Amino acid sequence: MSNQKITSWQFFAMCFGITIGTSVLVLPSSLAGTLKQDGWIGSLFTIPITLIMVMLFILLSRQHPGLNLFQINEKVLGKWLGKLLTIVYLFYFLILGGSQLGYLGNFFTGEVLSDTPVEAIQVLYLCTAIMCVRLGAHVLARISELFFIWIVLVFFFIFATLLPQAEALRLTPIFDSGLVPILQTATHSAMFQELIVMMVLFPMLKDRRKGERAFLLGVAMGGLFLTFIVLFSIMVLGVDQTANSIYPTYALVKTINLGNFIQRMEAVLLALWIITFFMKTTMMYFAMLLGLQSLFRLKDSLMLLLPVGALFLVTGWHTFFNSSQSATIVKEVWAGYSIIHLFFVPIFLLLVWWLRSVSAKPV
Amino acid sequence: MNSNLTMVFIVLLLPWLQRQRLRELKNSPWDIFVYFSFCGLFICLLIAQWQQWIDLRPMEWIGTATKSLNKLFSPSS
Repeated sequence: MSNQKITSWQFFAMCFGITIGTSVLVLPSSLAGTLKQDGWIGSLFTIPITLIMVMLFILLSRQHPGLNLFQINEKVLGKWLGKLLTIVYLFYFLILGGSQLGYLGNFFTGEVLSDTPVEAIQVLYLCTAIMCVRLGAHVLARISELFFIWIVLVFFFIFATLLPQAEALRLTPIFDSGLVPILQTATHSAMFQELIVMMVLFPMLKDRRKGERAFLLGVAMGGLFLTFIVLFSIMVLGVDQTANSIYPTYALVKTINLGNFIQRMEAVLLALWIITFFMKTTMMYFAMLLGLQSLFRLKDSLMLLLPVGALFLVTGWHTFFNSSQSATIVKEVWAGYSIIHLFFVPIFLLLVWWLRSVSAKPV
Repeated sequence: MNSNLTMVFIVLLLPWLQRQRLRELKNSPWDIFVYFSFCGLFICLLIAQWQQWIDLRPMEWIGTATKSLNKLFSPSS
């Protein structure tokens, strides 16, 4: 893969896009379902929890500068245990990338292109991801940089046009759910920010220190935008409709009507979602290829470009069956599975590194 | 046609589609071995799924594993 470096600004834009990713469409529904009108507070609390996880990743990469996640695994745990952990992460990224393709197909066939076969949408989408991965990580970085301003502008436009319909009274009583349920739900939703994938790009950063700051800022800004989306969903649609919709943000943007002139804004949201979604899927793709390269010590990971694409497609077919099954997974399964990869393993790696460095010090 | 079977044919076509890249790697037999093992395993998996010898439902596997872990670490156990 290309050795071109990524600037901190590009890294910021990537982190922002990946934080928004799929969450922009589905997060309001799960938060409003659990916390009702306090869903937006839950989303706000998600930001510090996600930032703590990001700090863990940063700390881990500071101990091993110039190494990506898979190389760190092998350096800390040794060759075989490290490779085992790499396989665990590869499976995680595969399931993530596959389920995102499933989500995409389901959304498009359900809401937009109802007569188009789901496979056609997924293959077409995957082709663009393949092109991007083939050209290198710096291309994805430039795409993120290019689209960042558009994503922000679209968000501001959506918020501004939704303001006339927003009813602040729908947010009352505030803090009715209590602090503990809010923290629990915030932790649960933080597990849907699979930002550990960004550790794969750490060695490609031009300036590591600035990149770390960009990582934190990008995640915080993405989280803030998600909070606004949840806030507006509750204020415009109300708690019940937000909680019961499969894609509440899509329903929210459909309500925009300014003087019977500015209508049907959902296409704009769709464009925004496709871009952020593309960033996330392509990052998973990169991670898969780099992980396989590290696992098998390959000279060239790009030869596995098409087989991995096919694997993503098949995983998409077998991980996402329908919206209700997906909602059950989101509610009951994913957070428990994800916390192992996002929290426990990084802490374990840090602990092992610390113990080894303490025992290596001369008495 | 069954989607698994279609995918088998697509994966069988991949070495031909990537012949240029594979030719460039002829000095690295390990890479070629990994490539064909990957494709071969993938085809075996697809055929097994097509013939319903296995049921590929990774999310359900994850669900079962997570629930077992929860039971193992819950205070009541």
